[in-house]
Amino acid sequence: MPGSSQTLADKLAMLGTVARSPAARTAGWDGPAFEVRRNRRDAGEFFGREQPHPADASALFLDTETTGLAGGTGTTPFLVGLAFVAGGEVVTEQYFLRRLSGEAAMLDALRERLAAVETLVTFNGRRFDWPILEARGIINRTPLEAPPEHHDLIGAARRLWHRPLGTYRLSVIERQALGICRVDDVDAAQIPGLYLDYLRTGDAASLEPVFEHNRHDVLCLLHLRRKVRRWVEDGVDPPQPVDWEGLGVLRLRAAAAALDGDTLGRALTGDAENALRRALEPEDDPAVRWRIASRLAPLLRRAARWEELLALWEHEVGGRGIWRIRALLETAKTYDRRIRRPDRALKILEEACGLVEWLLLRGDPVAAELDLRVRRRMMRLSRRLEAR
Amino acid sequence: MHRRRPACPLSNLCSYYGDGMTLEQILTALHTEPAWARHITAWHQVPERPGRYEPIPGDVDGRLASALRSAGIERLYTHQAQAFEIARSGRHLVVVTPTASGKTLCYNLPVLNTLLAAPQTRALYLFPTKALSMDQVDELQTLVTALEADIKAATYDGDTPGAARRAIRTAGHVVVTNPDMLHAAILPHHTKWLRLFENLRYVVVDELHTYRGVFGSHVANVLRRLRRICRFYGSTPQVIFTSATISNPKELAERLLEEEVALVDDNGAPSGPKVIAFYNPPVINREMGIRRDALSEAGRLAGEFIRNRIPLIAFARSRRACELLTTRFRAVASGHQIPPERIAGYRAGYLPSERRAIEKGLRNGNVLAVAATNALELGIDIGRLQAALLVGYPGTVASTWQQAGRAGRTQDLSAAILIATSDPLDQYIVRHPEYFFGQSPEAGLVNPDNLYILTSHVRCAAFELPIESGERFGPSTLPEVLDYLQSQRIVHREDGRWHYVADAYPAQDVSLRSASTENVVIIDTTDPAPRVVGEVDLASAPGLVHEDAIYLHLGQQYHVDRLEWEERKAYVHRVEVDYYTTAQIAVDIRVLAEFAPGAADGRAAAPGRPHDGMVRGGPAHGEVVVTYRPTIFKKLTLEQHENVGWGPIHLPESTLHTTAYWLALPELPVPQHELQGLLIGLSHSLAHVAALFLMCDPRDLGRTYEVHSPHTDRPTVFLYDAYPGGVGFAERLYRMHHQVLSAARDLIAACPCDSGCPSCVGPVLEVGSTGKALALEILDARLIPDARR
Ligand SMILES: [Zn+2]
Repeated sequence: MPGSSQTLADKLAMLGTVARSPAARTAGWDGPAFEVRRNRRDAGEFFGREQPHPADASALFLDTETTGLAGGTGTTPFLVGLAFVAGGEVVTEQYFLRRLSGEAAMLDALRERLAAVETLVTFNGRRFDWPILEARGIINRTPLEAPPEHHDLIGAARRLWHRPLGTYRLSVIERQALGICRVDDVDAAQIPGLYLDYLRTGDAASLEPVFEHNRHDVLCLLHLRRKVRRWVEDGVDPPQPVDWEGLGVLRLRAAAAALDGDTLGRALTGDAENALRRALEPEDDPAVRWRIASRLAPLLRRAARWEELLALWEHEVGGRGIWRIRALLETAKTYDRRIRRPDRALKILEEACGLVEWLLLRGDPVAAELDLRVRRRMMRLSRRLEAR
Repeated sequence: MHRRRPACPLSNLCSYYGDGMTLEQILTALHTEPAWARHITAWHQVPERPGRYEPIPGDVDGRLASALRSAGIERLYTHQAQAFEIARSGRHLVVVTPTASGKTLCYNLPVLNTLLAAPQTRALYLFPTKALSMDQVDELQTLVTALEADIKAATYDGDTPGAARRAIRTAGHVVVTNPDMLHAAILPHHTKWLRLFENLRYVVVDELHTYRGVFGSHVANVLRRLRRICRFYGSTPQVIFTSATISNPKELAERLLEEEVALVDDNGAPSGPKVIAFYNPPVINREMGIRRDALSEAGRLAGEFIRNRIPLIAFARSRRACELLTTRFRAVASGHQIPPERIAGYRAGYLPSERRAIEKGLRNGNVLAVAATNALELGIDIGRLQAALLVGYPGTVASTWQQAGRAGRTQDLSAAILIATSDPLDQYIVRHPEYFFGQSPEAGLVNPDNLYILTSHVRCAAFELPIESGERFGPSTLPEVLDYLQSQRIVHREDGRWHYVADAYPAQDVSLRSASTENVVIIDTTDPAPRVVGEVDLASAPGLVHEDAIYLHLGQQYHVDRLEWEERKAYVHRVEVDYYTTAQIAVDIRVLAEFAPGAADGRAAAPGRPHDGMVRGGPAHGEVVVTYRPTIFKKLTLEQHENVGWGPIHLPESTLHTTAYWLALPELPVPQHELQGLLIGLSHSLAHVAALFLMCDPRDLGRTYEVHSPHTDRPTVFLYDAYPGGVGFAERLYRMHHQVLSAARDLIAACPCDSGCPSCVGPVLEVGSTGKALALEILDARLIPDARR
């Protein structure tokens, strides 16, 4: 040990700019290292007139509070919030680490809960909560096993609200879309520090807002899950603003998951089409219009609704530049293959050809590829027409 | 003979011999032609050495043995067989071999043999650079393909795509990576690497000799963390090191691993005859001690090889020199109708794709000559070259042999020529060839217990797994370090365990390579669309990319228009000018504590005054704080290095807390300006000679002086470790100061200059007319009493 004028602590203090804090006290808690805070509410009271969805009866809603947001092995989930529906009640359970040494016991309890359900429901749990729990399971030699299904609501949230709200953070969504208002909510960035303060002082009172925050979050998942299901699966219109295209995509996915030719599947497809049409109608961005139209077209094709397909593309011909050319190509395709009017198709292609040349002159980078497609199609078509 | 060919202005050999000379003819000419031979200070012939072999051991898996045979390997070199034997006995080992002696088989053989017998086992290969690991995977893959076994080897580094990462984590048998990735990406996520750590049987650490100084001290701690994680998963991997020749490979390996390591250093590989020559460019101005510029001499010499189509590699010490050499070689080539594309430059800062293309060109012969920085010194496969030019002493005996080994991997004759610059180190080496050709005196030094480095890694270790009380991690100071981290709210102690509780990912803040984790990005704004042309590390940025600096990249000059220090961005535009820039940095030193004599473990006397019973003056070492302030830059012409302008540098001042060695001089009855000249001269020569013994870059060692030091009360010269906390240089210098002083004396005494030059004490302009004589006098006075003892 270098016994210089400076103490080791002085030297170490030069390592960082962090102010030195007074020597830490050991926490005064000597009860069990891990405790469960349980809350029950009547399901009827919670959900209002609607009944909880049967699928939610075998789901576990989970949200954790951690010592850090960095991820990796050194992040400890000190509070695991769970919610589930049981016996006509909505139960929340919060597993709280009174002391860090309670982690193995806590993870053991969590493992039992997980083993009893079919589905885990989280918000960003695929990337954050679950990898941390998994890592801590290994470190504490109590490996966790994920339920057969993990439903991460962040995917739906991104589709539904990223464009209209500019974010899909849970706190914003719950206010805008669920109409839930939090009062005196703790700032998430403060939570790790509050827990460390607790560890140092043993005084859990200042953690009360954290418990409240976590309980709120996990109940919010229940609401969000139920609402999203209604909007996606039951065809109910969500409150504004919402991304109709995103809703259309979610409905399409639900339709694909339903059995083929199933009436439910057909209904969902119809709902998806409605959403996509609502998305297309006011859209100004030509790239987005094109994307939405390309999602709608297969629905019309699958149902052999040729006139409507033609109308869809002919409407897009009103666009500009490459979007106009792409729409002309699709219109020509529809005339040729579906409406059986190859002569009409050829005329449209000739128009497209003229436009492409104009774009080529301006040095548009996509023009070359479009040029190739238009000419190839024209060649094939005129060869076919001559052969008659 | 040279009809229609333009007369060769660069060569005086063409007039005697024509085109199409062989290497042997060129060497004879160099050795006998007075114009060259006069300046050759050493002509060392390494005789051809036959190989020594042993049969492939009987316990090598039959599939592996036949794969080796089909690759043309019927038997092993003795050192390969010995390495296999030791590896099989379960001991850690270090294999010391020169370039191209079948080193990779020393670890691939035991690793693959184990994998064939127990397919669930895993191996981790660590290479110091990304380029090297790519090369090794290719080689390993070839062998594995021949085996027809299901063994997966893959590189895991920053370039590995996401999907591949997942597969490598669970199914990779041999994971090839670098210490930086292990530190920042693998260990902090060890739970995702469960399969690797549970079954880890071998760890291969290649190029051990590069793990010295700061980098080595960090890597020693990364290995502590690795072994800690392995203990958690119940594995105890065996470590195989390989190293170039240094004086202490076993000691260095044991310092890194903190366990006994067996040594294999009896190389059985054959090698062709080789000439190693030292060339000292002629003095063109005796008073000033100015020699002809090494770069232009390199151009002349290279001309001989290039025009005879002899594949050549030239090593330069800096990016700038590398760029200048490339330009010169292209000029030579075009004088001999050789397309300039056949000449390439290769250095750090090039994009990976550019480097890959050059490496390929070297292998397939499309590239005839390459000018490289030491980025190519390591084992990247560039095929067989016949000649190597070392433009400037590479800094260590080990890397000189490695660079020289780039020529002549076959049985044929090859040559390596070291061209000395006027640097003191170079001059010492070429005038004392016995230092070089004798037993390597260089030792790889590490200080894994450097408080700064240790503390960083204790943080990382706590992040990876809670630290148990009584757990060992380096020195006995661990509990104090943990108490400090507790006070910083980084760990929390509970029931004798320290848990990581900070909201940060600690590995992110720790760079293994340098004090800084960041780079300054260089952005070319000449064209409408700005483009990133390269990066420099934060520490070198003030000297290289300050405003109005000229930055060189791929032979192109860039003028730095703006340096956004906080954003770490330098905005440049392309220019063509006939000067380069060099920055000056003012240094200030303050002694915090002096270590007691003989107390090399760092016990210190009270600060500010010498320790009881200690004689005032003489050598000492201790803790210091150094302050840097960039001041001005100078513009120097490319050809004559004449000063043609200057400007201020406006950048923040920085401080360094480290260890230093210092030498206090007796009070001298000379005027102030002469004293100053003496101190400049002494620090100049001492710093350069010290770098030689410490196996470090002269830049790793700071130097400064005080005409009247408040600490020693005398004129004092300081040499300090340029890394926070130090990596052991100061202590080593203190212990070997007699050797250092006497080497400095020899350097100055043997220099032909009148009263000072850059090769000994520094230019006369800086040391004055008496600087050289006074320095010599002082060193003699210090050495004589020592010698009498
Ligand atoms: Zn000199």
